[in-house]
Amino acid sequence: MAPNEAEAALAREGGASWRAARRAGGLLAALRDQHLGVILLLPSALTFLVLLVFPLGYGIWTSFFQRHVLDPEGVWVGLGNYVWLFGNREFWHSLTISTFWAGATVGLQIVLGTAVALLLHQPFKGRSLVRGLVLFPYMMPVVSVVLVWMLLYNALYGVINYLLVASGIVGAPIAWLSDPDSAFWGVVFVGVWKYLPFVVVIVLARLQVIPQDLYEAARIDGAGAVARFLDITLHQIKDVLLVVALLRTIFMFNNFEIVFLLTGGGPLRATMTLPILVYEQAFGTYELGRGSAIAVVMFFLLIAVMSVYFAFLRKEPD
Amino acid sequence: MPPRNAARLYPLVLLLLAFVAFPLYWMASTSLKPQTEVFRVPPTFVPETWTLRHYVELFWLTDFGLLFVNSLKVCLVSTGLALVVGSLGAYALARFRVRGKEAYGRLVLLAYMFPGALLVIPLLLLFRQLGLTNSHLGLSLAYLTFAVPFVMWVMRDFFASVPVDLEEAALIDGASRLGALWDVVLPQAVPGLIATGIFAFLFAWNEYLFALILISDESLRTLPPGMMRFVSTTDTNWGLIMAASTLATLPMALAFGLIQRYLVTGLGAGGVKG
Repeated sequence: MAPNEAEAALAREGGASWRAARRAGGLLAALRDQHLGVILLLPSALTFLVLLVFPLGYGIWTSFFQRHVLDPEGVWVGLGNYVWLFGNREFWHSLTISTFWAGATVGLQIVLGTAVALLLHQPFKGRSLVRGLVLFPYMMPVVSVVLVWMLLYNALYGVINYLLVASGIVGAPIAWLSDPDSAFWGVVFVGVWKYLPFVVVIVLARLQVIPQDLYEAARIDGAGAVARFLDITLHQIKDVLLVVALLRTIFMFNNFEIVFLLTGGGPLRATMTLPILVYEQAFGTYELGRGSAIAVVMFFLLIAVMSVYFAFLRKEPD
Repeated sequence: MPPRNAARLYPLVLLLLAFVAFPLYWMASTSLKPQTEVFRVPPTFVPETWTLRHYVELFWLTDFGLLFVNSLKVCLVSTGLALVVGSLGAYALARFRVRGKEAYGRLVLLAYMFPGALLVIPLLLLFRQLGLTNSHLGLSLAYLTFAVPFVMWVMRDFFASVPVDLEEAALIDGASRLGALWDVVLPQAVPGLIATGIFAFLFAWNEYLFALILISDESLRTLPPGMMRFVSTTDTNWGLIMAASTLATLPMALAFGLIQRYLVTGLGAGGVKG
């Protein structure tokens, strides 16, 4: 259905003919589902076209140019930016950092999130209050999260260092975000803290629909707690976990704010993820073409992961 | 399961609460301590002296009020637009037989996952041509790139879960499809729209990269880039910075307190952004 046909259909129904058709009981017949459906989809289609599809194409186009941010034209370099990219150690370094960042945050989110969901699935007094509170880090603005963790991590008066030193776990305060050895885990911890609620909510929702008689039957068969967890709980939630892990991986891989605001990609590029490298190339060194080329590579990685997701959905129509 | 387990659970629950709530508590309590107490070692876990000085300073000495209002404007406009555009599309995907609907649904999900780093360069170039840089409307439009797919993705499932019977009854009574949407479906969709709207608002409220790149005029700045500026310009006035962080959290805390029940629905249904 071409959009202009749909508009024409709407025009035909406009004004007085609308009432006439309705009187005649022919409105539903005249305005067939397909027409109205397309009309309702038009605003979103227009939004996608102008704000997503065109910019994507324009981004790919820009990646074939050497172009300064203030330069109206730029110089055609063909695949030059990609050649530069794949021969550049910093690109491979950032790809590695991004992969580890996504892997570490998602892995910890899944394991901790499942544990927390299991805990909140047990009955105890005040459970609904705790369930509510656990969501809060997700609702907190990223900037507030980043600022409070900067204060908590502070080497001179940060409370984390105070507690670690006072309890004898470490001998001297750690400059969490400015030491190349600890910065990566420093940002990972914040990423886990902020986005854990999501995994908790989704796993908890899944736990609540596991049929109780499965557990009864297993108990009668003499299965212990560990066996019941592995054979029933884990088996039941594994599809949800896989989907959540996949989606979280994409979001963490693409996440710019958390790491950029905490460390700016440093110290010594220890936390230089791909989105930060895009930013650095495009707005730090004003190489829009190189920045675009990195972003395009990120886009194709996204397509690859999403294909896995869609293939999985096809297999499990639920 | 009998509550005999409870005693064993509480230490774990307390640990969880400490992990989740301590940063929140630290943010709020630091904002209420005088400057000298903020830097004290060992730190005071309960403020010795309580003061609202940082909050007064925030409005008298910084442009926090302006940043807050600017952010509110941009986020409300983008959320409103996204709710209208997105729920119309979501309703169509949930109820109508449109050719290519499934493919379109997938495109929506893909759009929802687009990295901001990919869009920011072409959007800057495009918006500069259109005169939409340094404009709150421009930034609101940029936020539609994630808000519209998000609303469509969540509301599609929501509309699909609303029983068709009432709509059919309205149609038999002579209502038009659009009339049925407005009078019958919309009232039932309100909780879903509120929860979805709050998340769309939250994502916009969080957004930093577009806000930094598309707006350079200081008087138009929004909260995220504006607040990060406090870290360097006000040196290490952590009391002030924590007061700003607390106030920036406030709208979300209010929304959270008011409709926590719906939020869980919204988050579970597809609030997988971040």
